Amino acid sequence: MINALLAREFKNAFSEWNTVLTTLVYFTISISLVDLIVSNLNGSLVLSISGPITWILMMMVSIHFANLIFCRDLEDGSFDLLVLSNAPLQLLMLIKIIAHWSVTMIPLGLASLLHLRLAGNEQPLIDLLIVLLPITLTISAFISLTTLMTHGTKLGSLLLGVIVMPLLLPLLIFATAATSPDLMIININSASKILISFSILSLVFIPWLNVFIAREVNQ
Amino acid sequence: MNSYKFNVTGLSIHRNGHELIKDVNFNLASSDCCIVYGTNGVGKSTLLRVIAGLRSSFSGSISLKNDNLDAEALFSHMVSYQGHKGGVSLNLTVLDNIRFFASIYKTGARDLDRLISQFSLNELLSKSISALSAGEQKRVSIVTTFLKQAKLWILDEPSINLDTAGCAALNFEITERLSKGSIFVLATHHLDQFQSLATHQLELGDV
Repeated sequence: MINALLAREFKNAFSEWNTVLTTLVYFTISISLVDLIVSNLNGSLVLSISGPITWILMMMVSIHFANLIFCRDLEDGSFDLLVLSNAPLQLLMLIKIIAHWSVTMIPLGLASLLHLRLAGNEQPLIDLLIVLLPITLTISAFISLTTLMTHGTKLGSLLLGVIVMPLLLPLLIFATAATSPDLMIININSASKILISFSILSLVFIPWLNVFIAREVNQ
Repeated sequence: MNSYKFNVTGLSIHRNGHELIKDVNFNLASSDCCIVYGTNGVGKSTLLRVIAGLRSSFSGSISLKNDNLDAEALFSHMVSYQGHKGGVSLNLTVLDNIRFFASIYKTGARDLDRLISQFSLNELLSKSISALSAGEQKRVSIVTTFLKQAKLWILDEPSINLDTAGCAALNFEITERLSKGSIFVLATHHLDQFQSLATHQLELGDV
């Protein structure tokens, strides 16, 4: 059954390739424009702010695109059939988060990594990956939660941004601490550990919350 | 053959602050088929969602055999539901959808092949659901619903968009399952199509 759930969710997620492409293009254009604006500043300042700018743009872009896979089951009625089956719904929600992360957040994370490198960040690659992995996973988990919470509401996309941004704020602070140590007083290792804790907690608890919310929304 | 009893007693449903359905009662046994009919907006679909266990805000009692709806894990295994929404993923192919539900319901290969050919889906297996006509999509939905080995079948407008051959295949499948002791609750506007199968009729009117 796990194989069937994995195959279905990944096929569904990959069918959104055009939305993922839009996300990447939007991210590239936004970050290029910001770089153009700050290019006149001195080099060390550009390096210092490149981290936070990358994380802010990555979060904003990921909030507004490619979150369709979380509500598709509610829209096409397959959630009704899954509720009445013995399929583990929490596992389904976890797989949805991982599918979203694989298809949307990995490309976006790699684009962010490339931007950090082009901006002159010289931290070891492994350190950056240790930051990227939990931050992207946590973003996917929070987006799944808020997308389901706002599903069917008239101002869904507006509410999504309003709800998810405060949730992601701590993530932004610690991600900035990890990639721009001169801006923050938090140690890089501590920031990475906090981000990893965030992602583990999100992946454990958010699928349960998602099932509860999806059941309520589906009433 | 196990005998099942499906009892709905004093069922009332409120929606948006007003009473949509008031004091509905019916008792069905194995091989019974209940047709629910009434004008648009009278609450047929809501009633079906409630008795399928998908909507929890109601008063009254619903039980299949001796298991109350509270025993959700037991009840849900015995119920198969098809609503207005097809329940199939539009981005996936017909085969992907059917295989997924066959895997979830642990349907045998023989049953799977039989349903695919009965509803004439052999030629459509590699097509994406979004590329199919409304009638073809309905046939896929019906097949995914019948993949489950349920005791109680709740179908909302099952014949909508189906052509004559599709309706005949649907009637054949329902007759087969009724003969094996299943219970059906169908909401429809096409009473004549299911008249020969119906053992009970429930007309919903304005409260």
